[in-house]
Amino acid sequence: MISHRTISAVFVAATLLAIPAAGQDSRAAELAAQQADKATKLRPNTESGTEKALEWFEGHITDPSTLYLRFGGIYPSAGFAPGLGYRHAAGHARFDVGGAYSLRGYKLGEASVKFPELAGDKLEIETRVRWMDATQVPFHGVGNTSSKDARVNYGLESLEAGALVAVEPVPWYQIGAGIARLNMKDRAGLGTRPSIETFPSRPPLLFSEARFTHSQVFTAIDWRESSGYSRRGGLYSIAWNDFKDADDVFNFQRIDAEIQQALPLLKEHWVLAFRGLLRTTEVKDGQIIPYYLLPTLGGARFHRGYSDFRFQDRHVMLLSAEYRWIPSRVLDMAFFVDTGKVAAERRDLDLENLKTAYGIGFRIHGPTFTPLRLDVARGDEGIRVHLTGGIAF
Amino acid sequence: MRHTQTKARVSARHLLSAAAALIIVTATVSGQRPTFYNDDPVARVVDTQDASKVQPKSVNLVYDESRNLFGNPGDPNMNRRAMSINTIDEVPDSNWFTNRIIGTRPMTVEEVAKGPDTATGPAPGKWTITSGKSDGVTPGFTILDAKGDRWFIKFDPPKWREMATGAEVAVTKLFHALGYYVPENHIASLRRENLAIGERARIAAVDGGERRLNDADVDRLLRIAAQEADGSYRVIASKAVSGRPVGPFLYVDTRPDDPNDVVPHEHRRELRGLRVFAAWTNHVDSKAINSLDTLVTENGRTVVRHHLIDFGSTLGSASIKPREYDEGHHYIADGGKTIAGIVSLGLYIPSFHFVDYPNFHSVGHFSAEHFDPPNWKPRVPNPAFRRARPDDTFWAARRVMAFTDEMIRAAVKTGRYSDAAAEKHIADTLIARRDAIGRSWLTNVNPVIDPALDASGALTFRNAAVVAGVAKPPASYEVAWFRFDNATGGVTPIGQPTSAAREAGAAPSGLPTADGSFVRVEIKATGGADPSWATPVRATFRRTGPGWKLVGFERLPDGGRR
Repeated sequence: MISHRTISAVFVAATLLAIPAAGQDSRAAELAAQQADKATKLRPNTESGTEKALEWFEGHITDPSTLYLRFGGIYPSAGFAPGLGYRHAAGHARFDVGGAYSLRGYKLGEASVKFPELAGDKLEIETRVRWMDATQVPFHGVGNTSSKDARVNYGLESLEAGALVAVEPVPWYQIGAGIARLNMKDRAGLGTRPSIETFPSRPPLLFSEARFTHSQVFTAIDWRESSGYSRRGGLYSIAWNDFKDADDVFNFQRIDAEIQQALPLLKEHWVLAFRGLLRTTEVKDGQIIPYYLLPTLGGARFHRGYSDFRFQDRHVMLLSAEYRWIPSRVLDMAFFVDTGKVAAERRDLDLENLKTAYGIGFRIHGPTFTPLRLDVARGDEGIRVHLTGGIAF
Repeated sequence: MRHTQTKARVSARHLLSAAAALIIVTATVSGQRPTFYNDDPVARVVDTQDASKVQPKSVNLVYDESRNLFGNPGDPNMNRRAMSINTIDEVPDSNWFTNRIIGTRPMTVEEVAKGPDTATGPAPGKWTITSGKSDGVTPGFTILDAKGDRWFIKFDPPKWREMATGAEVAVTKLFHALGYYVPENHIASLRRENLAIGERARIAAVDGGERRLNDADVDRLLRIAAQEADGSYRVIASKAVSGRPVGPFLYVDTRPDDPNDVVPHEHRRELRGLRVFAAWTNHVDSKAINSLDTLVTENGRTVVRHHLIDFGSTLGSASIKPREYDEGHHYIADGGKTIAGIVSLGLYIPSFHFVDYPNFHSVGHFSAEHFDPPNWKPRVPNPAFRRARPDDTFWAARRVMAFTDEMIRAAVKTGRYSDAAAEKHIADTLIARRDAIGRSWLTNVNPVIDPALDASGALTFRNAAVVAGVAKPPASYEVAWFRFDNATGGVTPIGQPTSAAREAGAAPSGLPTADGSFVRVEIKATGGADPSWATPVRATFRRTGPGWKLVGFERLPDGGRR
């Protein structure tokens, strides 16, 4: 098989040899003849088709005002979810509107207006409206002993409209608050699994509508190199959330706390990374936390040994550790362990009856982003494969 | 377009047949073509064609780097002799390269330190911003100084004061002395109150377009720059190179719209040899977009001049932070080493992880420890570097070795490091890396240089490795003599090869004496520092009047395969 490159090289060599034969009597004349010959064969210095495609793709990602394709982002358990969006930047404002539809029939429509660079990049304001319809969200029951085989599905529709303000006085510290109106309604689930109304211990007030005012306050110290990829630094964050139900039935609070720390060793040949995560709720007597808003354990970010929503209860604890090594600049590998539990009482968040999984991970990354992560975990319910983007923690 | 259509129509078999026929015709006719012309060796390649039709063309970074990382673009023959050289194995002056550090006369320390400079930096007074650059790795401004000259202004990252700016200026001086066209770069001091915003100053807007630059933009750009204690900013001021920019050059193929660009770039010795210079200065970012072609007027004709630009990511600097520990040792994706890293579960620890870097914030990660020149690598494979043969790296190594310690210290001093110890570390490291280059690349090919034949038939030459002190003299040299027929390329032995213990030899009897006759000598060393020294270099002399002139030299005849 003769490649075109080989042929081209032969032609170049042949041409450079052939031109002198035309009768030049000096090296200067020979070189001039080669240049004169090329002058008769000029062609435009245009981009190849591949270059043009790449230019389009890069513009698609970086252009602040464009129609764009999107994938995912509807709700955990949605599966492959392509969508279309349009973003536009004008002055300090960034508008974004889009929708997506998953192969499992999940639907999303959302619009936002952000002001990410106010007050010299120290103030960010975002307003957002988001509608989501999930058709087959998993439910295995409440508690740390729920059975994988007991899975049923439920449908969930939500409409949220709100605003969020974040202040970043220094690059490593953020504080902010948000408020939103959140309407949620559950219904019978679709898919191959039974619907939730068949579950032996039905959650209370099934298939009812909740109309929340969701308030939150959060603060974080974040000295990682970036939130998308880092080999050093830490994140220490806490957020307080209040869900106030207009019908005074589903009132509760939730606190989310997370600690992450990455320790580079031997000039970043190895990185030891740790995470502790706590989600705990508070509810007054007579009030109910909707089952679909109970903290959960499972999934590519919240315990890789289990599927999304595998465990849920009023309190969740997750501890993770990773031994990462770096075979090349764009590839990280990791051995990891995730262990955690859910509990009805906060005092039960101890180190007994932990759900533990071990695994290995492959991560393709850039300096500040991780577009592809493959984590394979083995827990007491078998092997789970997570192919996703973004960091585990 | 027509070219593409033709390629599509004609089968590969037909094309190869046509090429073979062309070579046969060439070979037949070349019987009438002398090996050496009267003007050999040429000292300068003149661009004879008008290049005013050359149009600007950018290079897509992802495309260029991807095909270099995952493919091997360019001539599949990886052992082709460089094609931009003259008949004595040297690179003539051209719009690519100018012989300086080894040229018609020795450079002085002052000339190395002066580099391409025509001024001392932007003229003092008000600097008027004509545009801002808020994106990219290193934000900055374009300004007009008080004299109306245009300069690009860039800053150091806040945590790494002097690192990128110092590297940019010092390495610019080195690359200028090495022979490249480079911009005029200066360390300068900027005060906010001396900045004015031009009426037409623009900056990229968040909507993808442009908008008028305002004071807030200037303040925002300055916030991410390292500030001095007195409130000023140390900046790199880079003067716009002469001519109209038409985009970067690739390290492969030729520019199809430039009639004077006839040598595939991967076969340009000055680009192959750049591998050595890049290794010396840790220029891991030697990629297409760090070059710039401009249209200049030369002898009343518009031609393309080829520049190297942007040296902020050299020495220990990666522009916005110190360079990664693996840089210079690995490509960003490096086949076997990556697999070794994966399967060893991290227990395979490359040696560079044990390099002990001194704690200089103005230096970053720059060391001669574990510097192994042949195994040095840029971030992404470079097609010209890949095709560098021992004769190319030897040519480049001679230039690196031509820098004296004083020259290197003078070049580094232009980086104006406030910490004398940091400046000394950089200079000491460059000196140590220079010597490592000499040990590697002056010794892995027959290092005979400067052959000369006087009227009496006395042959002299030198051994570059011995002269540089990186190898011991060989046990002896063997010289074979030939008559050379310039019309046919045929050779006839003259006497028996002679042996000598030093770099000299006497011609045997029977040397031609007629004006215009040619004689060839082949010189090899026995008992040398490297087996390659036993492969003879080939020098050809023409009788000119009373003496002999060197007109031909090949360090690797037949590609070194003997």
